Amino acid sequence: MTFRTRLLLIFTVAVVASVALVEWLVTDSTRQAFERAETQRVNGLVSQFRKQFAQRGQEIVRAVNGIAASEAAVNIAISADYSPYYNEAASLAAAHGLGLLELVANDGTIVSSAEWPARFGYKEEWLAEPADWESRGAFLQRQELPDGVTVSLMAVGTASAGGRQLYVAGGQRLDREFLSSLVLPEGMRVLLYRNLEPGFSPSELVGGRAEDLPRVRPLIEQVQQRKRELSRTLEVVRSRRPFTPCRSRATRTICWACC
Amino acid sequence: MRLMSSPWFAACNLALVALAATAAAATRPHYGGTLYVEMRQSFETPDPPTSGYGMPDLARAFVITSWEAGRRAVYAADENAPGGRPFLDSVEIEMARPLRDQSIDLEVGKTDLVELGSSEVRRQPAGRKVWSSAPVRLVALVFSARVEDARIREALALVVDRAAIHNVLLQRQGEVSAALLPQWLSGYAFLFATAVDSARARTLVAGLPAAVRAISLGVEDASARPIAERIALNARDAGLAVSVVSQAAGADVRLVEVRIGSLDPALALAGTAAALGLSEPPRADTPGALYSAERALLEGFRVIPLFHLPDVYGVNPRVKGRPGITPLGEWRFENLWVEGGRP
Repeated sequence: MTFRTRLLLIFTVAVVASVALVEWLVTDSTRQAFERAETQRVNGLVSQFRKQFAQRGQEIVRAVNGIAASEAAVNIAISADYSPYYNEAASLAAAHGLGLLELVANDGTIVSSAEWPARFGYKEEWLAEPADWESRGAFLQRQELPDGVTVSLMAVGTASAGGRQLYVAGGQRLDREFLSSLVLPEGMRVLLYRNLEPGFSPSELVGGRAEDLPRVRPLIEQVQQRKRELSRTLEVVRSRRPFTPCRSRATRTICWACC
Repeated sequence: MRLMSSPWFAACNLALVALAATAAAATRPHYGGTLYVEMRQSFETPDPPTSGYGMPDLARAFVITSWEAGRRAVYAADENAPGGRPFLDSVEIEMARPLRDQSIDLEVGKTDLVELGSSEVRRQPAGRKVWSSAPVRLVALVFSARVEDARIREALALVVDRAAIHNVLLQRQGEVSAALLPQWLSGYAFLFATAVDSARARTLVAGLPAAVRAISLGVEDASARPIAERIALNARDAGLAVSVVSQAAGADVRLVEVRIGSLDPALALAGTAAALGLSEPPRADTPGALYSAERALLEGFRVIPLFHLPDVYGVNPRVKGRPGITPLGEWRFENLWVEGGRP
């Protein structure tokens, strides 16, 4: 090999290596910048969702406290006989825009239930436990209904009069209707998994499509195992969307789940 | 003495006498007027009903003059009625009126006589004139032949909380009962236990497969649906999965209402057994024999008696006379009269 050829080879290798290095550096920094932007976007979306969720909780707390402070609730609280009021919860729930409402006596006995009117006289064990309901605000609650078990966003208020108490437990079911009522940014979709079974149950995924199941399942199972908040980026195929130019093109979807 | 002999005193006396006479005339039976009645039931037949309770009872003293099936009926006084001409000129009946609407019509003075459901009885203002029959309507659960396992039937009988339904849904109307005949008629209804025994009910059905424990409860009367829903809830305590359906035909168990048809306990028991599809009880001449006959009818839990309810009517104050219904709930309007104009 002549010196000239060797010099050309060395020069070529040096040029290729430096181009590759530069490209790698540029790609890496771009990816990092993109991921940072993506993480910021995820955090922004999640915090927006959380804000909306908290807002819903505050609305429920306000409605429940409004009922607890009403004359109707005070009248029930001081009544010696609860039987005339067994239908009261349905009308109060409708008037205050609550999907779920129970009026419960001091000992945990249900006086009236909007979601399950036949449950009068039964005990609501979780309400009978001592708790500071006022400071607790809205909370998630496993709720048994005539058509099965669900998860609801609940709040508890207390009507007190004449040394007697009446618990007002009201809220909303966390279901497809609840999700559709949330105001979300363009392109954002919220899927809700109701963690009611020990393992993953596809029927408990609300707001999802059939093609979402295999993708979100590992994330949900991880959350079930670790019992803490997790964030993942999933590759999903954006398809069957009318008027979408990038049909069948893989896009990135950020999933966030908490326990 | 001087006061009593004064012309003013005489004038006052005369005025008082005249006032008393007017008051007496106002409450004295008199002919004329129309009694306006509303009812929930609707007879869709081409002719007015001739058997049963309520409207058919009017045939004793009134004749039908106008019949609009399912809507309206007008009866006029029969001049040749066996007990003499009724005081009322006519009785106008509006059918298919929901209980709530009937109660409102009575409240605003639009009608004279309405049926009162349990929730309407609670809403009546103090001093409202109410006529009530004896508890003559038996509410019971009747199993179809499909439910062969007696343990299922007994478990449901043991788990129904009659007292809670009576106190809340029925607003303490009538009486809780596990007997076919009411206490006022037989005198022994209290011997049939009504206590809830969820633990025993659970034990009875514990070993049964889930498919056997799932039964449908048919209830056609929408106003009785809350009772059916409560029974379904009670049944869960025993491990039974009861689903409430609005089609009674084809259901595993039906919530039915049967009317006691006679003041003779033996006849009443035979009539009730026939209405519930039970075998004919042997003729019983003594209370002991009657009790044994009824006990035998209820063995096997094909029928689970729950309550005996009265017929309750709200009455406009302008309607005068003795209660227009008998203890059995029959209409007896011939001795009623009305005061004032159309309500």
